[in-house]
Amino acid sequence: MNEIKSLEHATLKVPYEVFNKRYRNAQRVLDVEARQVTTSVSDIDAATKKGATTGEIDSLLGGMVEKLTTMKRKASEAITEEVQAACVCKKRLEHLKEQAEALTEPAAPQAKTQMNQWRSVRLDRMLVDYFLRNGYYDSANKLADKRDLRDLTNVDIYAAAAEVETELSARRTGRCLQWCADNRSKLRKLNSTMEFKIRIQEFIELVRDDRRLEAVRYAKKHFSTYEDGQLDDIQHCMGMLAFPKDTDVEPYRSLLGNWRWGALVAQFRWEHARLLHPARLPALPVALQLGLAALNTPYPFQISSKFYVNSTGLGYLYVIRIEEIDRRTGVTDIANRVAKLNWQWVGHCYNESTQVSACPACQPPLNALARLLPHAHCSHSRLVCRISRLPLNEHNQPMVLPNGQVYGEKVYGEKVRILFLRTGVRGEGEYSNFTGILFLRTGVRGEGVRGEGEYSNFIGILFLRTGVRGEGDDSNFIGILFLRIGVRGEGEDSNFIGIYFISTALKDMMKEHGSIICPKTKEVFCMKRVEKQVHLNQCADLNGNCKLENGIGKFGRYKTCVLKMDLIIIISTSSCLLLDIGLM
Amino acid sequence: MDSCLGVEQDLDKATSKFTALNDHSNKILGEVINQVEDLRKEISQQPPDTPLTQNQVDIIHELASSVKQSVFQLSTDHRELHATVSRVGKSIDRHFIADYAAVAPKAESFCSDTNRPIMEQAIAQHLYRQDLEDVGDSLVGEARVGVSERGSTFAQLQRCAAALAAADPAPALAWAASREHDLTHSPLLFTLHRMQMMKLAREEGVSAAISYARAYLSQHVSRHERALRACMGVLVWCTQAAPPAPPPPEYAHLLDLKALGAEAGELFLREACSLLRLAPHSPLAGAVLAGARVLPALHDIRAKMSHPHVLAAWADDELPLEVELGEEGGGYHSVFACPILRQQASDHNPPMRLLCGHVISRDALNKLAMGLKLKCPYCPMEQSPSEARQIYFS
Repeated sequence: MNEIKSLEHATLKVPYEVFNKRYRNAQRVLDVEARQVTTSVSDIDAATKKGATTGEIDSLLGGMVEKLTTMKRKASEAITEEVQAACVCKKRLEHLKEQAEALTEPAAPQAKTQMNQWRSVRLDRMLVDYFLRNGYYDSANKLADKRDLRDLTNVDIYAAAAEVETELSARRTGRCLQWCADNRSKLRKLNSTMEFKIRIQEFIELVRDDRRLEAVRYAKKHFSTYEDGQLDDIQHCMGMLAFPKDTDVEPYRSLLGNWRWGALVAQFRWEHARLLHPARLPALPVALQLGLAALNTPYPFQISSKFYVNSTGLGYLYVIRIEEIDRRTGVTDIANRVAKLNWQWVGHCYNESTQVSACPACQPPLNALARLLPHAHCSHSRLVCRISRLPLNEHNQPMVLPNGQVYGEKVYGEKVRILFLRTGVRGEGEYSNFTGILFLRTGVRGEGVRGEGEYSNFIGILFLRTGVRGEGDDSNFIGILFLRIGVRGEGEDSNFIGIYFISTALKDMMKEHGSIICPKTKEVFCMKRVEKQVHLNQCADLNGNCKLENGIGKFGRYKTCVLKMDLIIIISTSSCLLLDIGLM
Repeated sequence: MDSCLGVEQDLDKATSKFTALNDHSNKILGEVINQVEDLRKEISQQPPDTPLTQNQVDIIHELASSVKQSVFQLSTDHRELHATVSRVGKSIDRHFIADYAAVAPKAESFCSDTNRPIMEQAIAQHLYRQDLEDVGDSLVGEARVGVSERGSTFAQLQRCAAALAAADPAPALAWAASREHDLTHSPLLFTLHRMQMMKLAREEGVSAAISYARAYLSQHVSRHERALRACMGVLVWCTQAAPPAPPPPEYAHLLDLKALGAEAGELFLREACSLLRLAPHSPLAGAVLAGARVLPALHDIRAKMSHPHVLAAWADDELPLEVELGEEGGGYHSVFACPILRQQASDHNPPMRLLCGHVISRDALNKLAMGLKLKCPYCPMEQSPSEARQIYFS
């Protein structure tokens, strides 16, 4: 099975139906013309039997020649039309073959580009089809023209349908009845009620115009041969004759309602599609639904307050602490924010913090649809780094931070950045409260520290201060740490995570061992150097050694942080978050 | 491919038969008309009032019956083609799947009154991103949906890419040049400059191309030496005195500006989107791409699952099988499947990292734990279940 086989049935079947229709048409033309010729033949026969003169025979033969010429012309026209219809089929087949050829030789250098182009054409075709089947004829025409898809889509086939619909919307039934007559045998096979509905509507219109006698005549003519199940409707119609046109009595009031015209348009659209398309739905919603289901992740529970207490295992002390923070800072929803941070295993597509901009199921508006769908089946782990979007495998080892967050070893194509603090205190007493400025630099790619003014390696400034104004409990707070992660372009606020107030003890720790920031929770971890490289086999599917590298030595083991640090408040650009650095 | 070929065979047969019939009918009818005309001429030579001779009556009779017969023969010939026509239809039915919607029971709900506007909003968003603003506007008008995003960054990128596909690298080059600093590690600039050079070589001659290459391509020598060499080599085929032999395949690719442009356009979209942290596909395109991948697999399994017991699998809230969505079609999220239970981890059953570093799900951990002792299923290490830590992949 391949994509062509599964999806493209209608692409070929619709022009085939046209082809078939043209064939029947041509047969009818041929039959009629042949009959005409035969009549003239029998005329001649009769004439000769009566002993006609040469003049009579001459004119009769002239008539026959005329009929033969018409037959020749009409037959040739009809057959050419058939061949044209077959050519449309053929054209689409050629288009499908393009893709099939690309599929058979995926190694060719341009195959991938070709394939992608073909796919975008397919999407456009699907869109046009969807537009046509929902009556958005204008959009369909525009799109088909713009992308040059007239041959590959059914725009022209639907042009007649569009006309019938406009006629119906303008309350004229002629075209629609004509269509019903043209397709009578097929409509009967499908048990269509289209013609009957139109007749009823015409009857209603006669009643509305108070031409009741005409209405009775009309009913005599068209309703005398009714089929099963139509009797009730006919009875209602006839009952209507006895009521005024502004009656409030049901069902006559609704029979006279204007909405019936809209319903007729909808029914016509449906019947028309049913004649042409074997499948009930256009391909677009089907592919969309399955695609969303395949990308979907399980829908989670609602966030509840118990998570911030239990899932971290921190207990009531923590809660008390949060309350205290609430009281001091006046930020009341801190508990919620923390709960959000701490409850990380929320279904990916439905939690703001885990949504991925590239994932269709995560993004509005499709997000709302995906919620109702089944999710992808997965029996093998499939891990991607949430920052770099690279798959986690033997080339990009998964790394776990002490808070349980997992990242890939390579972020932005480089190793995980570990922040080194290099002290270069200057500007003593520049700000009355600050004793110094600590410049932090990355030690990435083994580049040395550049001149002070250069920003390429610049990570942040640590303002250190000794005495703190205001809040009484600030003896712990020593400074502000401006941090940036994943520095790419300077001055981009998106890279800026926040300002950390940290304690002296933590600062020393960071200075000594280096530190790492969890991009998700913005927690800062110190990495204590261990003598031995530690093997951490992640799981059966992800065998391999887990190590944090920074160019100087190997860091590993997470349980080594001995700090007893209580709180770090992060003031990020967007919000005020509370974090716990109660290291394990 | 097989399915296409199968239908093509029948279709070709039908077309050739119809063309043959057309020729045949034209010929036959032409002959008949000529015969009748001849006879008429012969008869009209006599004065109009003379009665017909017996001989003439016989000739007329003969001709009339032959006309009748050949006319009916034509109609019958055409009727006999019915089998050929319907064979095409049957062949389409046999080679393609008619009822593709059967594997997507919930697609129906997308057409309901609540969900259809959402889907159409996504379509409009897609159209705007594809730089098809007028189509999007007319859809918004016809479907009466509300749309927020109009004239976005995407449209600008798409315009550049479309220009590239039409072999005009200028807008893309301007865009890339303004972000040169961020693109130092990407092959985009090189590709665009190369394209411009090939265009110059075609339009203004080889010397212009060479001077352009000197100015812009020299800085890329270290990274793209090979490709650059090919570029210079291909210039031979751009001169007046081009070798008569067709260029070898590696050069032919460079000479085809359209293909080169399409490829560069794709690269441009990918690189620009990753630079701007945007998704290269619109959500609609991404989802439909994935859906097209899933459909064949589901049809396969549906064919196998005709047994009534198996039908229950369709009612579940999970797709019945795993489908590889390819490198660009999926893998947006980490999904951890417990290696013991072979189940996707969930919020009830999160992944737990054991002391030894192996990761299993919490249910598996509880099942494996014997009181206070737990032996890792993958290594000899013994530990307490409480030492396992929950980990988070996103």
